[in-house]
Amino acid sequence: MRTPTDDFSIHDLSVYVPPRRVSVERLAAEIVQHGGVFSGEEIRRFKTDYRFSHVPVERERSLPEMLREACHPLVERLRRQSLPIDRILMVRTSELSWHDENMLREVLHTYGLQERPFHAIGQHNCASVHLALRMARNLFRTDPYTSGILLVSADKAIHPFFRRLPDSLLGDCASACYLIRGRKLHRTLLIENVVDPTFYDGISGKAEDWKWFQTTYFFALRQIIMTTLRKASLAFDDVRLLIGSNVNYRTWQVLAEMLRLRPDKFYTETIAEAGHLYCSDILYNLQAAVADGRLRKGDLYLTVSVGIGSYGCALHQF
Amino acid sequence: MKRNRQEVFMEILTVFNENNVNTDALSFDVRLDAPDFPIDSVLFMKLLVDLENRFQIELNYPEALGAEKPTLGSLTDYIEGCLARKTQ
Repeated sequence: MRTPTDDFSIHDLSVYVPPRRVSVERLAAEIVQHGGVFSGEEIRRFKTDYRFSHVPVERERSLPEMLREACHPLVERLRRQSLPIDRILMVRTSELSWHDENMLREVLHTYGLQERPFHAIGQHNCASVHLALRMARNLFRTDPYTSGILLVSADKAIHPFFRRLPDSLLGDCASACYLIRGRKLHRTLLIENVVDPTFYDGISGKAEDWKWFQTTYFFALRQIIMTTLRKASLAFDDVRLLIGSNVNYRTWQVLAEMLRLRPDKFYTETIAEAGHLYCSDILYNLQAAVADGRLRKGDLYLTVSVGIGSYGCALHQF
Repeated sequence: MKRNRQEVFMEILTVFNENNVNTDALSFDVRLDAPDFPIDSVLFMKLLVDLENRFQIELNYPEALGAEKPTLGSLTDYIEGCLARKTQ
Protein backbone atom coordinates (compact mmCIF):
# COMPACT_ATOMS: atom_id res chain seq x y z
CA MET A 1 0.00 0.00 0.00
CA ARG A 2 1.18 3.46 -0.89
CA THR A 3 0.71 6.04 1.85
CA PRO A 4 0.87 9.44 0.19
CA THR A 5 0.28 11.27 3.45
CA ASP A 6 0.66 10.14 6.99
CA ASP A 7 1.14 13.49 8.58
CA PHE A 8 -1.29 13.21 11.44
CA SER A 9 -3.23 10.85 13.63
CA ILE A 10 -6.51 10.85 15.53
CA HIS A 11 -5.37 10.76 19.13
CA ASP A 12 -8.65 11.03 21.02
CA LEU A 13 -12.26 12.06 20.52
CA SER A 14 -15.41 12.87 22.42
CA VAL A 15 -19.01 13.14 21.26
CA TYR A 16 -21.99 14.68 23.00
CA VAL A 17 -25.40 13.40 21.88
CA PRO A 18 -28.44 14.72 23.76
CA PRO A 19 -30.16 11.92 25.68
CA ARG A 20 -33.64 12.94 24.52
CA ARG A 21 -34.76 11.11 21.37
CA VAL A 22 -37.73 12.10 19.22
CA SER A 23 -39.42 9.61 16.92
CA VAL A 24 -39.92 10.13 13.20
CA GLU A 25 -43.69 10.29 13.74
CA ARG A 26 -43.35 12.93 16.45
CA LEU A 27 -40.97 14.97 14.36
CA ALA A 28 -43.29 14.75 11.36
CA ALA A 29 -46.16 15.94 13.57
CA GLU A 30 -44.09 18.91 14.79
CA ILE A 31 -43.24 19.88 11.22
CA VAL A 32 -46.88 19.63 10.16
CA GLN A 33 -47.96 21.59 13.26
CA HIS A 34 -45.68 24.43 12.13
CA GLY A 35 -47.21 24.48 8.67
CA GLY A 36 -44.80 22.15 6.92
CA VAL A 37 -45.40 18.92 5.03
CA PHE A 38 -44.48 15.41 6.17
CA SER A 39 -46.96 12.90 4.79
CA GLY A 40 -47.74 9.40 5.97
CA GLU A 41 -46.03 8.01 2.89
CA GLU A 42 -42.93 10.03 3.70
CA ILE A 43 -42.94 8.72 7.26
CA ARG A 44 -43.05 5.20 5.84
CA ARG A 45 -40.18 5.94 3.48
CA PHE A 46 -38.04 7.52 6.19
CA LYS A 47 -38.62 4.58 8.51
CA THR A 48 -38.55 1.65 6.08
CA ASP A 49 -36.25 2.68 3.23
CA TYR A 50 -34.00 5.10 5.10
CA ARG A 51 -34.17 3.24 8.46
CA PHE A 52 -34.62 6.29 10.66
CA SER A 53 -36.40 5.68 13.92
CA HIS A 54 -35.42 8.50 16.32
CA VAL A 55 -33.19 11.56 16.31
CA PRO A 56 -31.56 13.23 19.32
CA VAL A 57 -33.04 16.61 20.16
CA GLU A 58 -31.51 19.07 22.59
CA ARG A 59 -34.19 21.02 24.44
CA GLU A 60 -32.13 22.36 27.35
CA ARG A 61 -28.57 23.08 26.39
CA SER A 62 -27.52 25.85 24.06
CA LEU A 63 -25.05 25.17 21.26
CA PRO A 64 -22.10 26.50 23.34
CA GLU A 65 -23.19 24.27 26.22
CA MET A 66 -23.35 21.27 23.92
CA LEU A 67 -19.84 22.08 22.74
CA ARG A 68 -18.67 22.29 26.34
CA GLU A 69 -20.13 18.81 26.97
CA ALA A 70 -18.16 17.45 24.02
CA CYS A 71 -14.92 19.32 24.67
CA HIS A 72 -14.63 19.06 28.44
CA PRO A 73 -13.77 15.35 28.81
CA LEU A 74 -11.40 15.42 25.86
CA VAL A 75 -9.52 18.57 26.87
CA GLU A 76 -9.21 17.26 30.44
CA ARG A 77 -7.61 14.07 29.14
CA LEU A 78 -5.23 16.09 26.96
CA ARG A 79 -4.21 18.22 29.95
CA ARG A 80 -3.40 15.14 31.99
CA GLN A 81 -1.17 13.95 29.15
CA SER A 82 0.39 17.43 28.75
CA LEU A 83 -0.60 17.49 25.08
CA PRO A 84 -0.79 20.94 23.53
CA ILE A 85 -3.69 22.47 21.62
CA ASP A 86 -1.91 24.67 19.10
CA ARG A 87 -4.84 25.40 16.81
CA ILE A 88 -8.59 25.00 16.81
CA LEU A 89 -10.69 24.04 13.80
CA MET A 90 -14.39 24.71 14.18
CA VAL A 91 -16.69 22.92 11.72
CA ARG A 92 -20.27 24.00 11.20
CA THR A 93 -22.83 22.46 8.92
CA SER A 94 -25.83 24.68 9.43
CA GLU A 95 -25.85 28.20 8.15
CA LEU A 96 -28.59 29.23 10.55
CA SER A 97 -28.21 29.80 14.27
CA TRP A 98 -29.17 32.42 16.82
CA HIS A 99 -26.15 31.99 19.09
CA ASP A 100 -23.27 32.08 16.68
CA GLU A 101 -21.28 34.88 18.30
CA ASN A 102 -18.58 32.74 19.81
CA MET A 103 -19.71 29.25 20.55
CA LEU A 104 -16.39 28.22 21.99
CA ARG A 105 -16.00 31.24 24.30
CA GLU A 106 -16.49 29.27 27.50
CA VAL A 107 -14.25 26.40 26.46
CA LEU A 108 -11.53 28.80 25.34
CA HIS A 109 -11.62 30.74 28.63
CA THR A 110 -11.87 27.66 30.82
CA TYR A 111 -8.76 26.15 29.31
CA GLY A 112 -6.79 29.32 28.56
CA LEU A 113 -7.00 28.85 24.81
CA GLN A 114 -8.11 32.37 23.91
CA GLU A 115 -4.92 33.16 21.98
CA ARG A 116 -4.86 30.01 19.91
CA PRO A 117 -5.33 30.42 16.14
CA PHE A 118 -8.93 29.61 15.35
CA HIS A 119 -10.16 28.49 11.92
CA ALA A 120 -13.84 28.26 11.04
CA ILE A 121 -14.90 25.85 8.30
CA GLY A 122 -18.33 25.61 6.74
CA GLN A 123 -20.12 26.04 3.40
CA HIS A 124 -19.46 22.44 2.45
CA ASN A 125 -22.44 21.25 4.44
CA CYS A 126 -22.01 17.77 5.88
CA ALA A 127 -18.78 17.22 3.94
CA SER A 128 -17.12 20.09 5.82
CA VAL A 129 -15.60 17.54 8.20
CA HIS A 130 -13.40 16.11 5.45
CA LEU A 131 -12.44 19.59 4.36
CA ALA A 132 -11.37 20.19 7.98
CA LEU A 133 -9.22 17.05 7.87
CA ARG A 134 -7.58 18.36 4.71
CA MET A 135 -7.00 21.72 6.35
CA ALA A 136 -5.49 20.03 9.42
CA ARG A 137 -3.14 18.05 7.19
CA ASN A 138 -2.06 21.21 5.41
CA LEU A 139 -1.52 23.03 8.71
CA PHE A 140 0.64 20.19 10.02
CA ARG A 141 2.61 20.23 6.79
CA THR A 142 3.17 23.95 6.63
CA ASP A 143 3.52 24.95 10.28
CA PRO A 144 6.21 23.00 12.13
CA TYR A 145 5.09 24.54 15.42
CA THR A 146 1.65 22.95 15.23
CA SER A 147 1.76 19.62 16.97
CA GLY A 148 -1.84 19.27 18.12
CA ILE A 149 -5.14 20.48 16.66
CA LEU A 150 -8.53 20.45 18.34
CA LEU A 151 -11.25 19.84 15.76
CA VAL A 152 -14.73 20.63 17.04
CA SER A 153 -18.15 20.46 15.46
CA ALA A 154 -21.62 21.27 16.72
CA ASP A 155 -25.03 21.77 15.17
CA LYS A 156 -28.50 22.17 16.52
CA ALA A 157 -31.70 22.67 14.55
CA ILE A 158 -33.33 25.92 15.60
CA HIS A 159 -36.73 24.92 14.22
CA PRO A 160 -38.37 21.57 13.38
CA PHE A 161 -38.25 22.55 9.69
CA PHE A 162 -34.48 22.38 9.76
CA ARG A 163 -34.44 18.79 10.97
CA ARG A 164 -35.63 17.52 7.65
CA LEU A 165 -33.72 17.32 4.39
CA PRO A 166 -35.44 15.79 1.36
CA ASP A 167 -33.95 12.37 2.17
CA SER A 168 -32.53 12.70 5.66
CA LEU A 169 -33.34 13.60 9.25
CA LEU A 170 -30.97 15.66 11.35
CA GLY A 171 -30.24 15.18 15.03
CA ASP A 172 -28.46 17.61 17.37
CA CYS A 173 -24.88 16.77 18.30
CA ALA A 174 -21.49 18.17 19.26
CA SER A 175 -18.13 16.50 18.89
CA ALA A 176 -14.46 17.15 19.53
CA CYS A 177 -11.41 15.39 18.23
CA TYR A 178 -7.71 15.82 18.89
CA LEU A 179 -5.40 15.45 15.92
CA ILE A 180 -1.73 14.99 16.60
CA ARG A 181 1.25 15.42 14.30
CA GLY A 182 3.01 12.36 13.01
CA ARG A 183 2.55 8.65 12.62
CA LYS A 184 0.84 7.39 15.74
CA LEU A 185 -1.55 4.52 16.35
CA HIS A 186 -4.65 5.86 14.59
CA ARG A 187 -3.41 7.40 11.39
CA THR A 188 -5.12 9.37 8.68
CA LEU A 189 -3.37 8.33 5.49
CA LEU A 190 -5.16 10.02 2.63
CA ILE A 191 -7.86 12.65 2.20
CA GLU A 192 -9.86 13.24 -0.95
CA ASN A 193 -12.29 16.10 -1.52
CA VAL A 194 -14.46 16.78 -4.54
CA VAL A 195 -16.47 19.95 -4.91
CA ASP A 196 -19.03 20.66 -7.59
CA PRO A 197 -19.27 24.46 -7.61
CA THR A 198 -22.60 24.42 -9.42
CA PHE A 199 -24.16 23.79 -5.98
CA TYR A 200 -22.70 26.96 -4.47
CA ASP A 201 -26.08 27.89 -2.96
CA GLY A 202 -26.16 24.81 -0.73
CA ILE A 203 -29.45 24.21 0.97
CA SER A 204 -30.82 27.46 -0.46
CA GLY A 205 -30.27 26.28 -4.01
CA LYS A 206 -32.94 26.20 -6.68
CA ALA A 207 -35.18 23.14 -7.06
CA GLU A 208 -33.45 22.17 -10.31
CA ASP A 209 -30.05 22.30 -8.56
CA TRP A 210 -31.36 19.97 -5.87
CA LYS A 211 -32.67 17.61 -8.52
CA TRP A 212 -29.30 17.53 -10.25
CA PHE A 213 -27.52 16.98 -6.94
CA GLN A 214 -29.82 14.06 -6.23
CA THR A 215 -29.26 12.64 -9.73
CA THR A 216 -25.47 12.81 -9.54
CA TYR A 217 -25.22 11.93 -5.85
CA PHE A 218 -24.60 8.17 -6.06
CA PHE A 219 -22.18 8.45 -8.94
CA ALA A 220 -20.16 11.19 -7.21
CA LEU A 221 -19.96 9.13 -4.02
CA ARG A 222 -18.86 6.05 -5.94
CA GLN A 223 -16.17 8.00 -7.75
CA ILE A 224 -14.65 9.57 -4.65
CA ILE A 225 -14.48 6.21 -2.88
CA MET A 226 -12.89 4.54 -5.92
CA THR A 227 -10.44 7.43 -6.38
CA THR A 228 -9.34 7.27 -2.74
CA LEU A 229 -8.69 3.54 -2.97
CA ARG A 230 -6.91 3.87 -6.31
CA LYS A 231 -4.62 6.60 -4.97
CA ALA A 232 -3.70 4.34 -2.06
CA SER A 233 -3.27 1.32 -4.37
CA LEU A 234 -5.85 -0.57 -2.35
CA ALA A 235 -8.85 -2.78 -3.15
CA PHE A 236 -12.07 -3.00 -1.17
CA ASP A 237 -10.88 -6.24 0.39
CA ASP A 238 -8.01 -4.37 1.99
CA VAL A 239 -10.42 -2.12 3.84
CA ARG A 240 -12.34 -3.43 6.85
CA LEU A 241 -15.15 -0.91 6.90
CA LEU A 242 -16.61 2.16 5.25
CA ILE A 243 -17.91 4.63 7.79
CA GLY A 244 -20.23 7.06 6.12
CA SER A 245 -22.28 9.89 7.46
CA ASN A 246 -25.82 8.90 8.45
CA VAL A 247 -27.47 10.54 5.50
CA ASN A 248 -29.79 7.51 5.19
CA TYR A 249 -29.54 3.73 4.94
CA ARG A 250 -30.55 3.53 1.29
CA THR A 251 -27.53 5.54 0.17
CA TRP A 252 -25.08 2.98 1.49
CA GLN A 253 -27.25 0.03 0.47
CA VAL A 254 -27.35 1.23 -3.15
CA LEU A 255 -23.64 1.97 -3.19
CA ALA A 256 -22.86 -1.44 -1.74
CA GLU A 257 -24.88 -3.04 -4.54
CA MET A 258 -23.20 -0.98 -7.24
CA LEU A 259 -19.74 -1.64 -5.82
CA ARG A 260 -20.57 -5.35 -5.38
CA LEU A 261 -19.92 -5.17 -1.66
CA ARG A 262 -21.77 -6.80 1.21
CA PRO A 263 -24.17 -4.28 2.78
CA ASP A 264 -22.39 -4.63 6.13
CA LYS A 265 -19.20 -3.30 4.58
CA PHE A 266 -20.82 0.07 5.31
CA TYR A 267 -21.36 0.95 8.95
CA THR A 268 -25.02 1.87 9.25
CA GLU A 269 -25.81 0.66 12.76
CA THR A 270 -26.43 4.09 14.30
CA ILE A 271 -28.76 5.51 11.67
CA ALA A 272 -31.95 4.31 13.37
CA GLU A 273 -31.31 5.81 16.79
CA ALA A 274 -29.05 8.77 16.04
CA GLY A 275 -30.19 10.06 12.66
CA HIS A 276 -27.89 12.27 10.65
CA LEU A 277 -25.66 14.19 13.08
CA TYR A 278 -24.42 16.81 10.62
CA CYS A 279 -20.59 16.79 10.64
CA SER A 280 -20.39 14.75 13.86
CA ASP A 281 -21.63 11.53 12.23
CA ILE A 282 -18.20 10.32 11.32
CA LEU A 283 -16.77 10.64 14.83
CA TYR A 284 -19.91 9.23 16.42
CA ASN A 285 -19.87 6.25 14.09
CA LEU A 286 -16.16 5.73 14.54
CA GLN A 287 -16.66 5.54 18.29
CA ALA A 288 -19.61 3.15 17.85
CA ALA A 289 -17.76 0.92 15.37
CA VAL A 290 -14.87 0.51 17.78
CA ALA A 291 -17.26 -0.22 20.65
CA ASP A 292 -19.07 -2.80 18.48
CA GLY A 293 -15.80 -4.54 17.64
CA ARG A 294 -16.26 -3.73 13.94
CA LEU A 295 -12.87 -2.01 13.88
CA ARG A 296 -9.79 -3.61 15.33
CA LYS A 297 -6.23 -2.50 15.77
CA GLY A 298 -4.45 -2.22 12.44
CA ASP A 299 -7.63 -2.17 10.34
CA LEU A 300 -7.79 0.14 7.37
CA TYR A 301 -11.09 1.94 6.97
CA LEU A 302 -12.63 4.72 4.93
CA THR A 303 -14.74 7.61 6.13
CA VAL A 304 -17.14 9.15 3.63
CA SER A 305 -19.21 12.30 3.84
CA VAL A 306 -21.50 14.10 1.47
CA GLY A 307 -22.70 17.69 1.51
CA ILE A 308 -24.69 19.45 -1.17
CA GLY A 309 -22.21 19.36 -4.04
CA SER A 310 -19.30 18.57 -1.77
CA TYR A 311 -17.91 15.11 -1.10
CA GLY A 312 -15.19 13.88 1.23
CA CYS A 313 -13.43 10.58 1.71
CA ALA A 314 -10.44 9.66 3.85
CA LEU A 315 -8.40 6.53 4.43
CA HIS A 316 -7.42 5.79 8.01
CA GLN A 317 -5.66 3.02 9.87
CA PHE A 318 -6.96 2.24 13.32
CA MET B 1 -8.91 2.95 -31.78
CA LYS B 2 -9.67 6.65 -32.19
CA ARG B 3 -13.38 7.51 -32.40
CA ASN B 4 -14.89 10.73 -33.58
CA ARG B 5 -17.58 12.68 -31.77
CA GLN B 6 -20.48 11.12 -33.64
CA GLU B 7 -19.16 7.60 -33.05
CA VAL B 8 -18.75 8.26 -29.35
CA PHE B 9 -22.25 9.70 -29.18
CA MET B 10 -23.75 6.66 -30.93
CA GLU B 11 -21.95 4.36 -28.52
CA ILE B 12 -23.31 6.35 -25.57
CA LEU B 13 -26.80 5.91 -26.98
CA THR B 14 -26.18 2.17 -27.32
CA VAL B 15 -25.31 1.98 -23.63
CA PHE B 16 -28.43 3.99 -22.79
CA ASN B 17 -30.54 1.67 -24.95
CA GLU B 18 -29.10 -1.36 -23.18
CA ASN B 19 -30.40 0.19 -19.96
CA ASN B 20 -33.89 0.68 -21.42
CA VAL B 21 -33.53 4.44 -21.78
CA ASN B 22 -35.54 5.76 -24.70
CA THR B 23 -33.01 7.52 -26.90
CA ASP B 24 -35.36 8.61 -29.71
CA ALA B 25 -35.33 12.27 -28.73
CA LEU B 26 -31.75 12.45 -27.48
CA SER B 27 -29.32 14.80 -29.20
CA PHE B 28 -26.09 16.57 -28.33
CA ASP B 29 -28.08 19.49 -26.93
CA VAL B 30 -30.14 17.52 -24.43
CA ARG B 31 -29.32 18.69 -20.93
CA LEU B 32 -28.48 15.98 -18.45
CA ASP B 33 -29.92 18.02 -15.61
CA ALA B 34 -33.66 17.57 -16.16
CA PRO B 35 -36.27 18.32 -17.37
CA ASP B 36 -35.01 17.22 -20.82
CA PHE B 37 -33.52 14.05 -19.41
CA PRO B 38 -35.50 12.88 -16.39
CA ILE B 39 -33.64 9.97 -14.87
CA ASP B 40 -33.27 8.66 -11.34
CA SER B 41 -29.96 8.66 -9.49
CA VAL B 42 -29.50 4.90 -9.37
CA LEU B 43 -30.01 4.47 -13.12
CA PHE B 44 -27.83 7.53 -13.71
CA MET B 45 -24.99 5.91 -11.77
CA LYS B 46 -25.47 2.64 -13.67
CA LEU B 47 -25.37 4.43 -17.02
CA LEU B 48 -22.12 6.17 -16.14
CA VAL B 49 -20.53 3.01 -14.76
CA ASP B 50 -21.54 1.19 -17.94
CA LEU B 51 -19.99 4.00 -19.98
CA GLU B 52 -16.76 3.60 -18.01
CA ASN B 53 -16.75 -0.11 -18.76
CA ARG B 54 -17.69 0.35 -22.42
CA PHE B 55 -14.97 2.91 -23.11
CA GLN B 56 -12.46 1.53 -20.57
CA ILE B 57 -12.02 4.94 -18.99
CA GLU B 58 -12.60 6.50 -15.61
CA LEU B 59 -15.07 9.36 -15.53
CA ASN B 60 -13.90 12.17 -13.31
CA TYR B 61 -17.13 13.42 -11.74
CA PRO B 62 -16.55 17.20 -11.71
CA GLU B 63 -14.86 17.18 -15.13
CA ALA B 64 -17.46 14.98 -16.80
CA LEU B 65 -20.56 16.51 -15.22
CA GLY B 66 -19.52 19.69 -13.45
CA ALA B 67 -20.33 22.03 -16.34
CA GLU B 68 -22.97 24.57 -15.42
CA LYS B 69 -25.36 23.09 -17.96
CA PRO B 70 -24.07 19.60 -18.71
CA THR B 71 -25.43 18.15 -21.94
CA LEU B 72 -25.05 14.88 -23.77
CA GLY B 73 -22.77 16.84 -26.06
CA SER B 74 -20.46 17.94 -23.23
CA LEU B 75 -20.37 14.36 -21.90
CA THR B 76 -19.56 13.12 -25.41
CA ASP B 77 -16.75 15.67 -25.71
CA TYR B 78 -15.36 14.65 -22.34
CA ILE B 79 -15.34 10.96 -23.28
CA GLU B 80 -13.86 11.72 -26.69
CA GLY B 81 -11.08 13.63 -24.90
CA CYS B 82 -10.43 10.69 -22.56
CA LEU B 83 -10.21 8.32 -25.52
CA ALA B 84 -7.87 10.66 -27.38
CA ARG B 85 -5.56 10.83 -24.37
CA LYS B 86 -5.60 7.03 -24.16
CA THR B 87 -4.44 6.63 -27.74
CA GLN B 88 -1.64 9.21 -27.47
